[in-house]
Amino acid sequence: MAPSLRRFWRQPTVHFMVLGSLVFAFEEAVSRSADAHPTLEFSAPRVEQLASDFASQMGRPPSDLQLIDLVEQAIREELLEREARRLQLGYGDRGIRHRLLSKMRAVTTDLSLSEEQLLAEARRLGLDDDVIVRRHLRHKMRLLLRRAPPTSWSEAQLAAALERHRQRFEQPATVSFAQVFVSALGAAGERRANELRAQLTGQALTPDAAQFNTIQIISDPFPLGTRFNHRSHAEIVVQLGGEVAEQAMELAPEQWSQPVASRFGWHLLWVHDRRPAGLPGVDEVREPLTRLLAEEQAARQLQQAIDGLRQSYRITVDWPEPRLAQLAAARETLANPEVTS
Amino acid sequence: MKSSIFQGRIAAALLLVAGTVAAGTASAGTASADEELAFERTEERSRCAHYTVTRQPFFGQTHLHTQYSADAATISTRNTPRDAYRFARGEKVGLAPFYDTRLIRTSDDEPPVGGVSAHPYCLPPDRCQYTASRSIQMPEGRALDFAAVTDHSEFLGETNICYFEGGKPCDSQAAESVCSVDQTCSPNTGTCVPYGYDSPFCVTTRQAVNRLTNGLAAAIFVGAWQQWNPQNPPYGFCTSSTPNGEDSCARQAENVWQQIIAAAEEAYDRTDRCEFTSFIGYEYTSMPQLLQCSKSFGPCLADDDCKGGPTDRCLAPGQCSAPAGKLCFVDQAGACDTGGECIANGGGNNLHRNIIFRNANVPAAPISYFNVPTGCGAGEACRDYAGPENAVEDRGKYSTASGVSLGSPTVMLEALEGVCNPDDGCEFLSIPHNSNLSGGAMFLTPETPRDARVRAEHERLVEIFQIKGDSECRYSAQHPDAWQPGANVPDELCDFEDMRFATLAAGILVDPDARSVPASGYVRNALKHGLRYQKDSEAGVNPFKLGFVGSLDNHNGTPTATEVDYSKHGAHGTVSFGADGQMQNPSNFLGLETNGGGVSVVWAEENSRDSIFAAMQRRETYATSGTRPVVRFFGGFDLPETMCQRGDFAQQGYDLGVPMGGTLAVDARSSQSRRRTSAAGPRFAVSALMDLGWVGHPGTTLQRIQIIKGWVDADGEVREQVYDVAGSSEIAPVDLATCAPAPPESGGAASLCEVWQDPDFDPDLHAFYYARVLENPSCRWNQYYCLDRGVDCGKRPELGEDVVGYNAYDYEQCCSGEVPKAVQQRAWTSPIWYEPASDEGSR
Repeated sequence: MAPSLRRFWRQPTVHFMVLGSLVFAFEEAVSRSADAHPTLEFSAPRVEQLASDFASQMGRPPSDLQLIDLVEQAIREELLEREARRLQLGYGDRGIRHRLLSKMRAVTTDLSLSEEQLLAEARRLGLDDDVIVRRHLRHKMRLLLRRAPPTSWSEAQLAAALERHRQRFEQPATVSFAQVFVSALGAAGERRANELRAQLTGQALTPDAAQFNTIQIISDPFPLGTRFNHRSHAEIVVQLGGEVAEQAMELAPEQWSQPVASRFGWHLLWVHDRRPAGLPGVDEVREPLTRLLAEEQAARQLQQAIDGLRQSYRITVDWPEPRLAQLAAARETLANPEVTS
Repeated sequence: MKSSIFQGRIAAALLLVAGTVAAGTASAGTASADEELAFERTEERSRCAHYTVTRQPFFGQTHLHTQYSADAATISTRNTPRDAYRFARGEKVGLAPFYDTRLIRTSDDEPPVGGVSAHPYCLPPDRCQYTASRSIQMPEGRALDFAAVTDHSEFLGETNICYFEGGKPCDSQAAESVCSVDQTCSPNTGTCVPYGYDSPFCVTTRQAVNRLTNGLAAAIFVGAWQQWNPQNPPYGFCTSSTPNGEDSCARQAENVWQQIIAAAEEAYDRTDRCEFTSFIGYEYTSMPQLLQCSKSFGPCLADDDCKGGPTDRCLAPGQCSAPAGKLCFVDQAGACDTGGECIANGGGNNLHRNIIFRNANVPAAPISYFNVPTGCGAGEACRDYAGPENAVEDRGKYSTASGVSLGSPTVMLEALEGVCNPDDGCEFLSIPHNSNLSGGAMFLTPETPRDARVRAEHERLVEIFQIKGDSECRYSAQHPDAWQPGANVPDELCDFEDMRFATLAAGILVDPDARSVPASGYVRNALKHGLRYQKDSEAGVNPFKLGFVGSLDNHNGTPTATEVDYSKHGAHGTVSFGADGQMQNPSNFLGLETNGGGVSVVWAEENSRDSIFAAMQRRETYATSGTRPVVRFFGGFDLPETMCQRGDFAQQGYDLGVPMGGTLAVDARSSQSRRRTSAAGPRFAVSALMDLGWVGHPGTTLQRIQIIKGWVDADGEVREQVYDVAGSSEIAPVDLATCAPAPPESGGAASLCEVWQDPDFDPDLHAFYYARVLENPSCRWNQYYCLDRGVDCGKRPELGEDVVGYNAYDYEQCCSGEVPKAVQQRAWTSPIWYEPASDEGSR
């Protein structure tokens, strides 16, 4: 086993998560039948609290849809926390234990109590319901739900992911071309460019290797040169302007274009190669692809788990305004058309 | 008529080609996949599809700070190197201030990577723990081709310790720690944090940032800087809480360095599209005498520094108070009274360098000013410095006794050579910046040939322009020849983006004159002194053979800016004018944030690390003050007069001459023909295209091209001369009410090209030549700022009163006439040097 993997398996968190998964599965099987639909009630004051928190942070009240999203977010956070409590994730947590002990020691005068007694008392008093404890619980629950076995991705999976994230990895179409440049502007420049084109065509001069120097000598000097290799539309816009870019992407290959105007003068273009837009090989982007797949898998797993939780609860929100209730219902319908009836 | 000229040209071209093709020239400007590379490939990657033999310009940045820099962290910057590279490639990122939206939603599931926090934040409308209040994205077409993130190597670890976020939950009482070996469980947060996180130092700096009390956190770090003791590093909090007295700061610095490397590796495009190149780098922040009084030293390079008359370092006009090349005093902006007692803040001599590595073979940790100080070092070591007579005794190894002049980076460069060996594939460049704020100490005459050689080897580029001002040259109407020794006619165009300090963090100079701003702080003078040193010294090497780059030195983690963006966001997090009314601080207009910053342009075959690094090594680079004109510059004895009539301009330049950054030397093997050719003088061919701008923001036309020559005359005196070679001295004005550039018919050129021959060439004299390309005026960033706020110079608000979006201070800045409304953006090519034959072999 690689040292890093060995270290991984030695970590208490890992033991805990494995154990947790088992507990979770067991609980799922047993508890669902007993309490098929636990309830979660989200009160009107809590909705209003969310709205006012938002307003104080962002300097303006939330829109209706924003408020509905805030509530949904808060519900999901609470579901995570509740499940964590149901699975008693807090009992194994050193951080929470310490938190409870220090809170309890601050309020009790009885020095004879053992740690276990203090903890029991703290829980009885509800001291385990504070921001830090809740945050820890949600954190643990998320880690638990996100956890996926280390996967080695097949070539087919990588290729599929590359296709799925086409937009991110796609390389634009490019064109390779040569130009003869005329630095004079306006009608005079166009006239010269046309004369030059007639001569180039008449003498069958092309920018291939044998005649390239001739082409270069005929052209006016241009700091970016006469040869442009594999440029995208966007790159040509930056270097030569929009009109040249449009033409270069459209022109028929292996012939001199009509004069094309730019801010610098006139250009006669000869396209000799094109590469269509497309994806790079898997090998070229293997590392970012692998990272993306792992992240996708974890996020998917977390999302499904939270969705599952949400389905298993009976959730009611006491909306302070009827229109919010209607809007929320409509949104729900949109999101899950199959559960409307 | 025209047609016959063209027919003639084609005929001539065909004739010429008959010769060249027969000679088998491979100058087609394109490369087949198996053609030999023009540079050494030191890493595994594909050749770029856009590979071009005659090279192409790549636009980039060589100087940028992110959250990992202490000073950026203390102004609420949350962008990391990963964010910086995303931004460089054209994506949107956030800017401070960041709202703490923890109450709404926690996002504590963002674990730190490798012990370094990622400082996650959201852009509206998303929300997480921190939500950006502003966002920034470059206009289409203005993404960068390459960038180097250069966080300060000082405090790298300290910053991660103090500003750490998002560790995993833990129990500080537990017998067995769940935290990694370099972390401990904080009883205050209940999470794993780096050792030292709960130290009073860190708690205070965190609180200072959380309360947005601008400047306080930075001041704490500055205080730490002052207390640093070269005899006894590190800081107490680095070791006091670790189990074995280990140095937590050093450990964390290594973690951060690994993240800097990883971010650069991720951002680098290794496909054959070659869209983006990242460089691993850091900033070595040498700053002797920071905030310390203030027996400030300044250089006295030569008697010609003393043209202005008697000052503290000039006994009489033309006579230094110390022998040339030795140290003498400068009264720093009234920082010290005559007895050397501190009466004001004299600032620090900015001797900063950006270190850029060729590839991913880099040292295990960057070298910081704390590990290896230059000058008199920092803290106590500098405090008692009492003058040149004490230099040797007081400074020990940092003194002239080591054979290294004060302010020289040689000690650091040699240390870096020790950990970055070319035999192991490690190569680096050191790029000094802001010599204008060095108190004149950036380019002190080397003490020994070794000192000169080490500098010449590694310091091939200088950052000539950035947010904190122009370092090319300086001009003021009151002191027309103060900063230009040897100039026949003062160069008024040197009155450009001048800073009103002589050192970093100094008080503003009320009357910055040559006495308080040493001439030796300017690059043109350094180039001249370099020539003279090469001619006179036994080393025979030019220690200041410097090509040019321009950059930002932005502290937002956003490595590029247009004047428009700069007017909205500034460059310094929460202390930028745009964020919280800091406009009211005069140093924001005329101080720290003087201008929108520059750009580095590199002529390379392809956009890859090796190709760009090789171009930087041969200095085939130019700097701009922020816009993106395309400029080529060649020199050579055999360049034809007709270069500007032909499209093979670059091909001829490379075949018959040298590009910017190169050296012209006459072939010693044929001395007779040399005499004949060289007496006629070399030709210089310069060609430029205007910046086209971007959608909705057309670029500004070119006004003129100048060539600046510097040389050492027959009497050994340095000289300079500015020649107008192309374009017009007429201005095509910008419309200040709209900032629209002048229309094409009102003058200005879309492109310029000229071949120029030096009329006063003397083959026996060392010389350099560089081109300065000037655009017509365009709105300076502050004009966008003023227009955006609708400042009406006919309507003055009372102090504290807001008149529809602007206040009294806005009014003052926009309407006083003190701040220029328009600016002539420009580009500076790296020089081409001429070395007389006697210097052959010593290059």
